[in-house]
Amino acid sequence: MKKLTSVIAATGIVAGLGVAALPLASYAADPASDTATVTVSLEVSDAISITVDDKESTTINLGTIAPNAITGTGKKVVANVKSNNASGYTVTAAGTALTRASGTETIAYGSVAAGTSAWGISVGTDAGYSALTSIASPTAASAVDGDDYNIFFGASTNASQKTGTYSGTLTLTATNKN
Amino acid sequence: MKKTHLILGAFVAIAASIFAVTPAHAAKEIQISPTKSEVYELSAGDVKSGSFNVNNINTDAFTFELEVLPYNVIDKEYNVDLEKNTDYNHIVDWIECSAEKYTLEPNESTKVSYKIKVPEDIPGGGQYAVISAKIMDDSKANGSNVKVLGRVSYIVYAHLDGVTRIEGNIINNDIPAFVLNPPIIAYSVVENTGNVDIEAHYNFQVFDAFSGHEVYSNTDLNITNRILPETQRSEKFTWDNAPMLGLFKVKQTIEIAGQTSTTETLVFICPIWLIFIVLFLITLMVFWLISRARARKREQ
Repeated sequence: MKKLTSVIAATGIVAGLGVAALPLASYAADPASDTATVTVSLEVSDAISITVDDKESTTINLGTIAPNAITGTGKKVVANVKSNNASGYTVTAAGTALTRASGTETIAYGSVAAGTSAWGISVGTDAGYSALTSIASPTAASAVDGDDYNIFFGASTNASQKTGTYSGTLTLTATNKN
Repeated sequence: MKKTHLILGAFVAIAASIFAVTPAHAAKEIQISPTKSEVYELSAGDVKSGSFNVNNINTDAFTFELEVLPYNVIDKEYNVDLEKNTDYNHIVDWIECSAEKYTLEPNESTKVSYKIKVPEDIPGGGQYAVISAKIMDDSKANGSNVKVLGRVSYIVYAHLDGVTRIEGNIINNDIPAFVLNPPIIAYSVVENTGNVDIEAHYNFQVFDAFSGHEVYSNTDLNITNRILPETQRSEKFTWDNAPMLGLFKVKQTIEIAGQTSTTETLVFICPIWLIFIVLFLITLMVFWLISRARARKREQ
């Protein structure tokens, strides 16, 4: 009985100390003002910017890949977006098919999988490449130095993929939400 | 003396390496401002003009090209679709820009002008387009490669005279009554069932439940979202500086297309470990009461 009472008391003390340690907000009242004030206003327009940078070039070399193979290229670009729009912004991606330099064969922008002819991207992790169209959709303005998005590249080929160099583009578009 | 010189020399070398200016990495950064037009009220045959600025705010010169694209959204989060053409995108064919390409040196800006030439035969309702500025890259690359290009958008909004339906609904206006951690959140979803874009206005306030004192409000921000026709749009407001424990009255008001919805909820915020301690305490109290009752019974 005495033991139970002690346990209850101890638990109550722990709970009380825990509550006391909680960071509780304090709300400061507005200081009284007895001086005249002059209102100065400035209208700042909304803006959005994008930088695509992989430290040397914005052209990603996909390396060499054999037919019927799959590769994570290990290559990435960092897209930095700056926006002062309180409602946030979106970053979208649009990829073209890779076209063979000396022919018309293509590697489509799609989900990278063994045995298929496709190239794709992933955001944040170097795996699971696909034809992503939405990169980011935050609901607030960016950080002062911008928000960074790491975009990785991968590709796969089918057994009948013709040899040669293939090239295409990936367009990253930043748009404010209004 | 020699030792002093050596120490001083080492200090200077270290200080120089710390304070040496590391050359900033060159990059192409394209900025557009503002990012949306006024809402043009257009009639058949009208010609309206507008402009925006494209700025080079980094250290590499670049050439950019302009392109007029349709503006649509694909989900409630208003993720953008610049490829699909709908009945709300005829304006893409009416917009002409002052030039197709510009070259900007570092820290240089240019003003891009455009005209909207409205044809004689037009539908009623809203029309939406994006004028995009995309960095060009004509460099030659070896091997299989992907050129990654940055692009920014300027959205053009227009209302055409004709049959206009201004209709909207508030689908959801919700404040969770119990949260385990900050922030305190309010959710909403609105929809536009008309044929022209409309504005949704939001107000989010938090009051102390006991004193009634307002502790947070976004009223001064005049939060307004533009809702495109035949779309739904979600929104979320948070009070990030909410304390770990407290009881608050939270109020969210939404206005759209002449309708108003106000939700007021008493929100209790409490960390989970405190809940466990309280439950444990209650359990112990119950055991103690039962033990006492039994002990009394035995004495009798």
